[in-house]
Amino acid sequence: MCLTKAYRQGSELILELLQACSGLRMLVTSREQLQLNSETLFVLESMALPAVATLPDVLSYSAVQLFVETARRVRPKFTATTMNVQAIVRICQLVGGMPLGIILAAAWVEVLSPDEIVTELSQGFGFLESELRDLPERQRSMRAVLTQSWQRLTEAERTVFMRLAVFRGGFTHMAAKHVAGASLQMLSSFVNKSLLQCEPNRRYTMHEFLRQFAEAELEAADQTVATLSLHCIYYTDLLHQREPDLKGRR
Amino acid sequence: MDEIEADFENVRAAWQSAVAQRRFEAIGRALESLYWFCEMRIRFQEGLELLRLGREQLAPVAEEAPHPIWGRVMARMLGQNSAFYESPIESRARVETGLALAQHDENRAEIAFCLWRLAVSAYLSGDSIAAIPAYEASLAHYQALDDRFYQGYLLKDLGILYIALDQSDRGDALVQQSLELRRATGDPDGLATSLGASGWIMYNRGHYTEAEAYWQESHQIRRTAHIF
Repeated sequence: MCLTKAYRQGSELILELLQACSGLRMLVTSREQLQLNSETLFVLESMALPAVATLPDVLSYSAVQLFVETARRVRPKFTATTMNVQAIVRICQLVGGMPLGIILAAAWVEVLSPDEIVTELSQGFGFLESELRDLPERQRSMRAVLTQSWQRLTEAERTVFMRLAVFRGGFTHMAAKHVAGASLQMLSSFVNKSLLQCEPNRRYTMHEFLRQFAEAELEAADQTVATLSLHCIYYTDLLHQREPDLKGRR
Repeated sequence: MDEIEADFENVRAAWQSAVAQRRFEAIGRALESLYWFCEMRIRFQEGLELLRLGREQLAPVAEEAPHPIWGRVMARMLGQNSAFYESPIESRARVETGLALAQHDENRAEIAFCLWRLAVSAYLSGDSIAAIPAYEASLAHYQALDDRFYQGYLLKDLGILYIALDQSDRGDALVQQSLELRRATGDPDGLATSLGASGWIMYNRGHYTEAEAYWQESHQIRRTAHIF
């Protein structure tokens, strides 16, 4: 609640400044849209990821550059080699090109090899913690970052968002409505808060770390079985409904 | 099909969840589409994995009577394509179990399906003579049910078998009948398959221009409908 209040106050301050100073332009970074009429939105996407892990091509990708630079801060002689480049690329892929995820993962180079980092990351995002003092405390673990986003949601939003964790590989609005009780407005709100991405084909996707976080919340709320049951019914029904299309004129 | 393709990961998760909880009704509703989707989109290995999971999880426990849906799952472990089954002998035994359950359940559509699969199994094992009565019995059931989707497959399969047995006139007529039926129903996968078979008939007769025309049309349908 506190964070939401602070966010609203920040938004109101920006509005006041804009109204008081004609011609004023402000560059604001935020996880959510400010919902101001004068706002122009520039979405910061994930860092560029290479499709193939071959040297030296991968070194031109920003995600790999960030990993190597961060790793060198804890291990100055660290370099991308033919032996570790595949693991480095895999790490960048596992964190979805998220800069903070790359920084937190690279900090482990001090004690783990890139291959070992991949193994840890494959088991979940809980491993992404750091004691780097030049990072704000709220950014020293992925869990802290995700918790902040979670705390900004209303109770109703939390209920819906944790249910969305049962989807795999994205979902449509209709599926979200039936399985999680999500309205279009709520999905739009999640997109505005960078909790979901809306693809050009109108499918919604959730970052894997957010999905794991939401899944844990769903489990804690004892709603996993019920939600999986709705997911199961929805998709088995979908298959059944599409049978005439599969067998007939399309 | 594109909708199922986009949601295949959800479909897979839903299937896994359904078989883990032994939700026979949900599995029964999803099975036919899952089977045909995997056939048409060449997801043989993934389809087989999901069916294998169903076979293992839905098997009768202790004194429990085998469920008809378990039989339907097993009957579909022998697909159209040779990549979609484990081994002909094991597959045949499973289809026979499926047939026995379908007969006990008096499920005519499923009896027809199992007979078709037994015919395919015999054909793949090189026993064409044993395949013919199974194909014909299956076809008779589908005609009685007025199921034109399956009739199209049976007519085409039976036609090809007769051609292989040097009964070309009879075989050609059946493949032609299958093609006409599929043009009427508009089933793209079936139509493309029958056009492909007609192309081979023309090719073997040395009618290369006609063969190419059939294959071109088949190819175009597959491209348009995203079937392979």
